[in-house]
Amino acid sequence: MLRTVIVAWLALWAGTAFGAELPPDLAATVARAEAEGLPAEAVQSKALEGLAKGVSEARIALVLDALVVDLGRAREALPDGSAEMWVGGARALRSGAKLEAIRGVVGGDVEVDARALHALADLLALGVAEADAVRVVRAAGSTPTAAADISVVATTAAALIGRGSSPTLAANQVLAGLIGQHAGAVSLPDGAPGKSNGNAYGHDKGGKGKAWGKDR
Amino acid sequence: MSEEPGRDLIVHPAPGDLLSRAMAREAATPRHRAWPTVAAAAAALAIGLVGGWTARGERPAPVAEEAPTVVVAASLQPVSVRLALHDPDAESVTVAGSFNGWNPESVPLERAEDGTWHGQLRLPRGRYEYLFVVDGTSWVSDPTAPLTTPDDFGQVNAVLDV
Repeated sequence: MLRTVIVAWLALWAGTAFGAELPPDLAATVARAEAEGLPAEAVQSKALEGLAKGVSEARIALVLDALVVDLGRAREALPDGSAEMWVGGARALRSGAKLEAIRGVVGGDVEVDARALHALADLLALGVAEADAVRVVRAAGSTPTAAADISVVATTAAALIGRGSSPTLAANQVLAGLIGQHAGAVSLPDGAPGKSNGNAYGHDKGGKGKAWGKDR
Repeated sequence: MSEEPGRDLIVHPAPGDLLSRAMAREAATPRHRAWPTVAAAAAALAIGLVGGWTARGERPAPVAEEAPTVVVAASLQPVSVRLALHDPDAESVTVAGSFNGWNPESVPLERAEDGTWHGQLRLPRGRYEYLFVVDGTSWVSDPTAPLTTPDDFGQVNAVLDV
């Protein structure tokens, strides 16, 4: 019988004091992020990741600087957002999202919004066009099980792309799957299949899509 | 720390129902496939060839037998996550990620007789990135992870969303 190693989740906290175990230049960037009120944990984690992988300090420094910039832009776009939302927003910006896109997928629930921003980033990284990615995330965010649905849209798209779908087709398939799974409950954004095209971010006029249905 | 599997709700991070419904849509509309079958096969072959090597290109990638399994104790935190990697030739396998400060030594996996390395994490709900570390030097993505993401250093990390 196979045994498993049980690892206490307290390992999460191992070595996570800001700036600890980092070369001075990298620690300074982490400290700057903290001083600016940005989620310094994300910056520190990226620094530790680079060091662990043997990446040069110069390259890590460039990545950290870009991350701090993106976190700042995400906060600017989502001033009332949580740290995790800014991390997700920064990832989406890094993947090519425009500020309007990251504003377009948030709806007022902090936990769901953070997942929505990560999903947007993941879909963009898969090659899904920004407008399609926004539609998919917004549709997932309008279902009765939004948190769970948003969490799987990117993995579903990745699986479909792995099976040969183009990113565009995969996005449409995910959207169709959401509609099929939640018949009548999905707030179908403008521009989605079966819906006349509106603006790129498809603000819902029907009001069924929770806060996604409101212009923000 | 002990588990009570009988009281756990088992959730797979794979897309499940949504994928089935999305694929049903795909089957119903085959004419919309944007990639010709030959191109898709070529891409799959290319992925297979590229995926057969680690990021450092030094050794064949090991194979995981099943996707990461997330076991959620109903309404309780943290979440239990099982990871596995099949690599009979490895001397050691650990897992490093955003949940442990990317420390390649803090979470060793245990080798089974068939050469599969198993480990279990207990994590707060959230989104994590991770890699396996084989023999202390080779950073290997989880072949069964349903999603990977660029790490900004030229490689990709496996994604765990619990």
